[in-house]
Amino acid sequence: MIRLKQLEKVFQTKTQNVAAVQNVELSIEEGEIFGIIGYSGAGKSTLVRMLNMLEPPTSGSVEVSGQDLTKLRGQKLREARQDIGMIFQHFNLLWSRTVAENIAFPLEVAGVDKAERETRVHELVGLVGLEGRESAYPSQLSGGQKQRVGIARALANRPKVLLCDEATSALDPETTDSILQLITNINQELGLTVVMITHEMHVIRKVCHKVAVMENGGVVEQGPVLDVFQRPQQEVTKGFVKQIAAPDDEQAEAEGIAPPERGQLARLSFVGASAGEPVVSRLIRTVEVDVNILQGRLATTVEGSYGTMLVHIDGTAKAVEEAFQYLEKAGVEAEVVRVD
Amino acid sequence: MIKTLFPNVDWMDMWEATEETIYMTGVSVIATFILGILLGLMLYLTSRGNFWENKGLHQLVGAYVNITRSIPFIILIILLIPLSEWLLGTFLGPTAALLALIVGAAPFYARLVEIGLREVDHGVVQAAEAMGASQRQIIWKVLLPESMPALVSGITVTSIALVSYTAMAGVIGAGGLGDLAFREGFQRGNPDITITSTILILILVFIMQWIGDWVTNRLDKR
Ligand SMILES: Nc1ncnc2c1ncn2[C@@H]1O[C@H](COP(=O)(O)OP(=O)(O)OP(=O)(O)O)[C@@H](O)[C@H]1O
Ligand SMILES: [Mg+2]
Repeated sequence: MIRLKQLEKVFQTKTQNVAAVQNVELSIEEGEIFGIIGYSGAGKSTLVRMLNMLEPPTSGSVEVSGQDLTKLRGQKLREARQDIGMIFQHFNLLWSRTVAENIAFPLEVAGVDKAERETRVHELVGLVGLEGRESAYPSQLSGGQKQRVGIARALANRPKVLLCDEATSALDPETTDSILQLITNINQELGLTVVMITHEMHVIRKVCHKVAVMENGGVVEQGPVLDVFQRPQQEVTKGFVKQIAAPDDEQAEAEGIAPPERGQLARLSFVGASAGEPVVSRLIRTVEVDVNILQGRLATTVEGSYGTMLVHIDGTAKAVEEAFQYLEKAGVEAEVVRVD
Repeated sequence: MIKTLFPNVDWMDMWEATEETIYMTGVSVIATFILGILLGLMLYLTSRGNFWENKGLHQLVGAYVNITRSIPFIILIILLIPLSEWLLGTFLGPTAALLALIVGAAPFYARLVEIGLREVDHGVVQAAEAMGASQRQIIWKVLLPESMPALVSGITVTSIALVSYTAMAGVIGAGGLGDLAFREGFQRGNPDITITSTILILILVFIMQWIGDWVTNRLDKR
């Protein structure tokens, strides 16, 4: 759906040249929610803005739906842009227009006639759950509602791709969840390809299928979310993983735990589908042991969970041995923790 | 009562002068609004990082605006006499005054328009671009509507300045309240005429300010 080849953007300022994006190769498939994560200044916004040519690349190509956007100019480019919706961190609504008029804006741009505009706006208002607020002005809406208008507006011309630049960064956690839920629903119902820029791990975790990690203008790691975050290769990626599951913390806290009278302390690392309580509860039912969860950090992603758990497995030496074997078969990495 | 307070006021003359002032102000405000927006758009669009970024053109328009804006109005009228003669065949009368009024006020308003346009959120313009809007659509559907409260409050300030310009236009026989106050009031020693003209001008200014504020508030949905 989207192919980026050797993509590069250099900003020339008076004092220096800033390579905001360099050497990016990315492939985003149709219907995918693709996350791009990185710290401030990594070049995420620049990258996403090149996907609709808001920022013309210095070199390389941007192919969307089989069309190389870098080769388009004028009317052709404007038509291609109508197939790519975009939402922004600060919503960027026209304050002089009502909700309905804001949603109608891209339809006016595309030359849709008035009657058709009205039906479409009505549909979109329903889709994003803003019934009854059609004639409100943006200043009368909450952040979450404004972003809903932004989403409706981005979807008005039935685009194939939705670009989100920090779409939830200005929202509180609950509103963030509801907006992420809405984006997920849209992705599933309309089969829309979504590109999500963020610096927040939980956004990636909650909605994305694949992720690319950016640092200093380059993509340093990419792949399915679960793979990338279970086996982070780069320091940046490890940093992001820590935002959710922080093994360092657990190491520190394990020190405060008294050595058990019987059995073993163990750190379990969960991978994908094997994650979560079912494994532990099945373990208790299968083997003659008790399991005390002392600490746990689990993160759920679209395709499964990952994380670690510090447990006390209590039972006879033989039973504990069996428990470790059971866990290994279940695909859970178990590591004995010694405290003294 | 009125007769004793204002013994020398000829109310017919007074009304005629008021009409002339309203005529000169009204026509020049409309022309200034259109011309000022055109010039202001030119200034804005040719500035750095905008659609028609063009340093030379930007500086040229800027220089024209700054120069005409800085010339005292009374001198501008005299400087424009040859142009009025060439364009209108005469340099006297209210219509000749209109030329000077518009030439004097449009650059002043153009600066206010430019400031108003600069205040339009750049993100909104980018959002429109991302939706595939053309430059013309962005100007008509984003820049002008989003800056409209600033444009209206700017034209209010400008029209009040225009009222005082009309007073000076008396030197080329344009008539109006200012001219009446000067010739009939001051020169002939009739302070009641001066005071009445002043009161009428004040009323005019207050009405314009009130309309301007009301429209600005109606438009401003921020
Ligand atoms: N118009 C510009 N001119 C010059 N440098 C720029 C411009 N836009 C971005 N940059 C530089 O490019 C780099 C990447 O910026 P970018 O906005 O893409 O980062 P980001 O990953 O989106 O960061 P954030 O999370 O803070 O939004 C930064 O060093 C920035 O200073
Ligand atoms: Mg950014």
